[in-house]
Amino acid sequence: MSEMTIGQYYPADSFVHKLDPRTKIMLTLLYILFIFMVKSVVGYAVAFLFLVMAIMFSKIPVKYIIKGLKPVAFIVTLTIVINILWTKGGNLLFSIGFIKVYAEGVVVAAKMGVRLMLLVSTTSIMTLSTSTIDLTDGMEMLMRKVPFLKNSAHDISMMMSIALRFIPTLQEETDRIMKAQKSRGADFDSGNIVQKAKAMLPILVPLFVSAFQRAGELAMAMEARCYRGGEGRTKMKVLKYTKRDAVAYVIGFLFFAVMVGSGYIGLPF
Amino acid sequence: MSIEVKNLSHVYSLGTVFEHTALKDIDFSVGPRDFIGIIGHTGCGKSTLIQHLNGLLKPTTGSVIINGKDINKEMPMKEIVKRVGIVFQYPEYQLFEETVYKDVAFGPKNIGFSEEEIEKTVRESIELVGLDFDEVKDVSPFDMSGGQKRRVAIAGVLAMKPQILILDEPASGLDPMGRSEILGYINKLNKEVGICILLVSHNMDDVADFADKVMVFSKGRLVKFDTPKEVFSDVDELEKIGLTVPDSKKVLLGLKEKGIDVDTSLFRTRDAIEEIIRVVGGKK
Repeated sequence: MSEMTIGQYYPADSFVHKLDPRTKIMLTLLYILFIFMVKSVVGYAVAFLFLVMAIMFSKIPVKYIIKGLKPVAFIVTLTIVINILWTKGGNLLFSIGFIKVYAEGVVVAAKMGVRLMLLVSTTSIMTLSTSTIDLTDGMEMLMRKVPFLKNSAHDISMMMSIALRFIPTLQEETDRIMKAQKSRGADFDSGNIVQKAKAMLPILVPLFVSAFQRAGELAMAMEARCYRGGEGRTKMKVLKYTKRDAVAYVIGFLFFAVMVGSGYIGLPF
Repeated sequence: MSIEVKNLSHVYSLGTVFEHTALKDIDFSVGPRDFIGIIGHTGCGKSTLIQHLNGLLKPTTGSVIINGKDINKEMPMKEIVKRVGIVFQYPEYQLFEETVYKDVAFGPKNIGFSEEEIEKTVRESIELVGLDFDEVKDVSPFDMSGGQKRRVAIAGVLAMKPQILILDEPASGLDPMGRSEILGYINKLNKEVGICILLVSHNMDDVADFADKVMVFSKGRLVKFDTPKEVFSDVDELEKIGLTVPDSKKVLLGLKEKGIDVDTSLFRTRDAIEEIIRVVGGKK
């Protein structure tokens, strides 16, 4: 669990780090849209180039981005395998028994794999270069612009920031309880799947008990400081767009427009 | 039953940027029926050390030997925990069963005790920590008070009948009454049942009052392993590594400074009280 990159902040002094969180969220969304509209190899090349640029401007070591890909490796592999096996069309490359692999299948599988990896990498850059406070702040400001989210924007972002804040705490707690139960002879590694699931109970029950307790204490502490939700609440650090953000927006949307105009990307139907 | 630690070092995250040496060249041996106090500043490696003693952590170099056997080579985890019990800090957070009986029975069940043995050991352990077996056995541990929960958790480890019991701050967060009760039961375990105790504590008085020998850790090293009398004899030395002497000794040292002739080599609360009574009584 400690290998999770999402929600982990890599502090650095870079162009990307200094961008307004709203800019980063919007451009990431745009990028995701972009890679789902890509039609040709040129489109993928441009998407990849964009990613490389973003990494360079963020000064985040490539190692961290790759580490972020690890947890999704299984999903990527699964997608590739399914696409290879189930897509029919083009030349039949080879067949083993009932398994038939077509040229089209390989191409589709490769595209899907690349898409997923680009998706996760960009999202990693966003979370690695933005502290959780900024991230949830940015989300809140953006959600306020959405009509049906307007009223709950603050609550949602507060919930997100609390959840993110408690990930490491709960990890530590899990580790501690696990060690205590191991010292009482608990065995988490052997047995079939039912036995293994049952063996998790001595960890999960205390973990939930303490999580609820913490939640109660936190709620009390917030109320003691007169927290009453988002209404009338002002911010110490007000988000402000700068020239930097304008530059990033212009580059992002310009790329997008050029790619759509030149037909390298477009709606998939 | 004896534990021998030979040349043990532990490095966290070896080979990464987060590399950190938690323990360095630790050597000691502990005999049966010993009552050892372990003291040291936060982050000095105490917790890392105790986790090595029942195989939760593997040493980077060196070995832990129990009864002549290297636990990391010749003993499966279940055999280790049968012999060495650890009560971690705030052990009440490990309770999970519906009743006290079931929770205390968890450990012995895991290491393969028979039904009758379990019944017997659960009853004994619950009574050893000063609770009434018939009264608490069907109670949910979550309905108990903090001090009672702590006792149930300690009973859960005791029920496995370890010959060595390691306790990490067993009295922290309890009121003074609960403190002295818990420590009293631990002392009884050592003196009457004959279990070897390793007591990790920030509280110098607890260590001074009960331990026969004291280990002092500083920055991952075992800097002193001696009788409490010897360990607490040098105030400046202890203060240099962020520790201090027991309050009772501080009182005696203060009296001495004021020109009252007391024996400052005493360190146990009881002895200090008697010494003061002797001096005051003598003046009358």
